[in-house]
Amino acid sequence: MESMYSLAFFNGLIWVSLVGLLVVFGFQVWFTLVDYKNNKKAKGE
Amino acid sequence: MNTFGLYMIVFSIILMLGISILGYLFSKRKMKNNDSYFTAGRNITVSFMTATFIAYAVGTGLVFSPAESAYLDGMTAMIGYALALSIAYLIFIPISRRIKELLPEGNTIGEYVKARYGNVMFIVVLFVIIVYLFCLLVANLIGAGIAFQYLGGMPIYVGVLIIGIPVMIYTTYGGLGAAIFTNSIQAILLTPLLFVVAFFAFRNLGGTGAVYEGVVENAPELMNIFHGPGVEFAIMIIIAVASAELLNQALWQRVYSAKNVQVVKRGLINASIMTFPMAIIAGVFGLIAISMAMDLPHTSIGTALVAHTVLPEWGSMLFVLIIVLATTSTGSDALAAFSSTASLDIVKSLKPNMDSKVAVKVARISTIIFAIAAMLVAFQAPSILQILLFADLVAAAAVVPVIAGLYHKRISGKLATGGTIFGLILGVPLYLMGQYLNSFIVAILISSLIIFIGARFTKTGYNFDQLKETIKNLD
Repeated sequence: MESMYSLAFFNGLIWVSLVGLLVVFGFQVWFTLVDYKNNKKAKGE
Repeated sequence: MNTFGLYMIVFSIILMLGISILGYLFSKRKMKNNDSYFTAGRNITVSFMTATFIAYAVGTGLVFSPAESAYLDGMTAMIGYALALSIAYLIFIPISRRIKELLPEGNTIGEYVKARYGNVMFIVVLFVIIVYLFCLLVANLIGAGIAFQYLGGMPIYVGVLIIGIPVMIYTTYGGLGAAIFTNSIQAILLTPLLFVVAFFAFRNLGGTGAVYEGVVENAPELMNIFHGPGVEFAIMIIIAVASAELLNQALWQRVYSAKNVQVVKRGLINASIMTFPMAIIAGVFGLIAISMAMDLPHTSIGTALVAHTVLPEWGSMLFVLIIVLATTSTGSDALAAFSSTASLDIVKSLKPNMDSKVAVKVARISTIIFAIAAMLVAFQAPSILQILLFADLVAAAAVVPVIAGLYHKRISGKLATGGTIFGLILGVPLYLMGQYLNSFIVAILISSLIIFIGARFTKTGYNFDQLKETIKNLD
């Protein structure tokens, strides 16, 4: 039984990954907004 | 066909129409010259680069295969899959810098190989790339096909055609620009959809603890850290994915299309971090299937069937849309990559003075033929994981000779060709005999030994400045 993944590890991995998905989504939205603003600025110049 | 199947068709067609129209409009606005068709104008920024690397990873390879590996080989295999995607992007960072430095005006891997190693190695690498891209496209189409088959109760060709035809149309028109644009939309939509489906699946099953207990009860060996098949799979998939990505025309195209090296580096680092949780969540559906003691009719369908069983109808439909987005995303990447290879590598080498407008026309025609052939193979529906692994093995035999040529002056075309061919000859039979890990190790080891030992006895060295001189912009 010693070489089994523990319940705590499994729970931790899944919850960290779920939170990670939210962080990924936040990054994507943020990057898209920044990119949009930069492109707009570049066109203005 | 059941009622759910009818809704699947309606929603998928609406989604595909939306993606196709947006991709078409984007390409029309952005496509300034023929070089743009293949390299998206070489001005892609970090946001697009990150989004497109993420979306590239989030094809059927991510939605189906980690769950299939978890279902068959356990949790170590699932973690190995997630690590493989991240490690592959990290390894690509220094190589992408070298590519940008040596080939600032490049378009394809093939033209680099031709300039660096000559015609024979060029033909071998073209074969490897085409087999790889074909397998990738077929795997994505199968993903869509089996989802429609097992969830909607309709023949596999319905799903294959619903995804295959629109992807073929908008990628044929817009090239890489259309693929990158649709990737960025897909990546943004995929992440929250994956979260919602996983969150509700765990909630309805009684939490992560209940899933863990279910797996331990039904197949305790799959939760063993050192479960033999799981460890073997994890090592193999890290080698497989890393080799395939280093030799992936779709990734090389992104390096060429980036504004500068920093954009590629930041895009790859972001993507390597961000794909890990996505792969874990996608993979855990395989463990959920075990905990529910599900008997899967097709090993690749675990994720979709779990979603269909544990979620209300709207949740299951959301998951179908994830599959549609994922298969569309990677499928269009494979097609865009093939179109540039077909036109710039194959046809241009036969007709060197071909006009760039004709190059785009040839790319479009060959993309249509390629897509139709892939759809015909996808109708047979073999295992997605097996198809992707075979594609990776073919790439593994060529990866060291191709990449080492960017750094090592004394590797000649003959050595690179010999290394790749012997890697294939010895690796493929092992794979067909079911010795998957050994097939990858042998393919890489043999090709590396031949080129590096041979290079010690080669006196003349290659002048890297020649690459810049030979490989120029299309326009």
